[in-house]
Amino acid sequence: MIPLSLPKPRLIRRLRRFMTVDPGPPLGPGDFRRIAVEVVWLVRFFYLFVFFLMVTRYDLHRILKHGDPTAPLWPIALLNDVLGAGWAEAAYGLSFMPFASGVLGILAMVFPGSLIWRIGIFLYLFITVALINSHGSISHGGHFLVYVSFALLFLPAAAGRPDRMPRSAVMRCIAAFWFAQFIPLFCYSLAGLWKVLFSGPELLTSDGFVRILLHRVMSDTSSIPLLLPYVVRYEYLSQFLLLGVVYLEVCAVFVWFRPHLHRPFGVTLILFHLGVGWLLNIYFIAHLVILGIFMVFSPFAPRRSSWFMVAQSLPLLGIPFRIRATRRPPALHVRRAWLIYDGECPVCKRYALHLDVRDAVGELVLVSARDGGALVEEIENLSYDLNDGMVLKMDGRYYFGSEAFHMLALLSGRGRIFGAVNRLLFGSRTAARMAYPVLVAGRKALLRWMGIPRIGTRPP
Amino acid sequence: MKAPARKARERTHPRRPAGRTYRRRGCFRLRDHGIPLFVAVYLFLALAKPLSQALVRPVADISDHEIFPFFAWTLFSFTPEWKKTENAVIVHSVDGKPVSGTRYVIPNGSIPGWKVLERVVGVCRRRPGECDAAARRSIAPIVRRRTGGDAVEFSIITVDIDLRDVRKDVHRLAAGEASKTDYYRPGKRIGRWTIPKEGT
Repeated sequence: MIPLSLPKPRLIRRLRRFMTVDPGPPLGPGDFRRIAVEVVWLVRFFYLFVFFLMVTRYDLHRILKHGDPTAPLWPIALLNDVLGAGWAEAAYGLSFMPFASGVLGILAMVFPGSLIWRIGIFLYLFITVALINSHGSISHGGHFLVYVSFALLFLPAAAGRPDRMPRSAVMRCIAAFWFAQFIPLFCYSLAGLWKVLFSGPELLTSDGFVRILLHRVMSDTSSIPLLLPYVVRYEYLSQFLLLGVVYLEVCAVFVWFRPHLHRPFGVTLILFHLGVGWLLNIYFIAHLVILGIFMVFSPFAPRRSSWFMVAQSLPLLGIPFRIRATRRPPALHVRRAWLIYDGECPVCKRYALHLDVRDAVGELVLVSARDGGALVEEIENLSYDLNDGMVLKMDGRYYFGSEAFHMLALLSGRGRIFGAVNRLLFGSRTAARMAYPVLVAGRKALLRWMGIPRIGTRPP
Repeated sequence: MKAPARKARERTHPRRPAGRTYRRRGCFRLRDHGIPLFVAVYLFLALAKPLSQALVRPVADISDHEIFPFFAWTLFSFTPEWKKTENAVIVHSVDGKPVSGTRYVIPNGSIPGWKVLERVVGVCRRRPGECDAAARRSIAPIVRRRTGGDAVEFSIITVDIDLRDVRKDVHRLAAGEASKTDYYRPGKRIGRWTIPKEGT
């Protein structure tokens, strides 16, 4: 029998670390707990919004009475087969379903740790959004609600007591929220990707966006949108707007990895949706609120940021800012720093002994990861795998792998040849990121050749 | 009291302090396995349109070939030409009396109506034998709703539109001085149908 096992997450974790461009300090254990508490409050707010939206907004009577004669989507077709064709009119017509959603929304808000209410909300949204997209109707704003409510099913039971969550629940809470952030951003990226693929060179013409707007107006809008008469007059301006939208959409999934961009992108995407409303008469109320909750109020967004840090985090456009920033040594002088590395790897050992960071750091304490101890345990509790890279602890912050490598290069004194070469080669964060996986692979091959086991696998 | 089911999934690390347990490597994690799995499934279901057509409904059905809630987000991805051809539904007579001018039932500002018409024309082009049934099933109720219960004669036609003309007059359109149908140039007829009076 072939054993079924999940793929090792190391590759995915590496991808995540590679995609993350965070010019700020890495998060510490205290930050995770704070984030988890904020996550629970944001989740409560999301369910409150669902309650409000379902009770007040969707005009299901119109769809049920005047739905165009196309086949419904599969959940509705299935329910029609099981319950009979009149179930929807009976349930929604008597306001039973909005009432039920109201009760579920309030219960999910009050008890975010209770899976049953979250499943109830998910199923309610699933059926309702399928209904409002059936019979020829289009309301893709509801899809985001379904996705986010699905992601929130992964919240731990301990979310009901956010201040007393164990560490595993804190991490699961953060992962569920991260997933909820990911799905809408992924959908934006898909939308942007199709624009690039299907429109291709038309994106570089001066009048492509004007044609899209006019085509839409002639096809399916009942009235001329507010801003349309002004925008179609200025071809270059409108095309510039389209290119901006394409950049925003394609890069949305990168924003997921870059906390400094959560708030600016959230606000920009909200403005984009308002613009879509004024240019195409399509209003995505659910999108606006979801972006507000999950991006503008993102608990991952750093408390302190600057325009320069935001510019550094931008995909593609941020590269010049990153190059400028990474060549600049950090302005700090700390009394002590710790480098946790593989003490049995001869190359790592030589590297650690040759480091000269006296100009910036009073004392660099070298700790072999194989010797164990409180510091090593602390590092492992932060989910860093020391087989995949060294860790530099400095000024209360942790730098892992290529970040530590890059930071040590920046701190290296210019006086000695090793320091100068180190600084020249790996003073660039990008160069350090590119080189580090190769160096780690080389180290692993060397250890295997020398018969030295992985860190943490040798019996005590 | 210890939770035996949870304990079974965890193990004590040889080098870590006794009494503390750690999750076993390789167990399911949303962050490491769930999200990549979701992306793969999402892309497969959102993009495998032919598969969805084959699995979910008969090919001739006039409906969204969308495996809900997986959606490809291809809206507004195409850039049209300045001169384009659209489809329209026009009414010739109501209760046997000819309609003055050209009366358009679709497009009428309703997205679902336009969407249904696009799909019906698609069926008419690909499988002409099924065109009549598709139009009677999907277009006739829309026409009926706009014209009442009388006998109606309607056609599906193509219309040519020059978006440059629309752009030139967009302020007139916004002010209500011109109608969108003023810019439709009727082209060829795809089919003509008669709906009998309701109750006959």
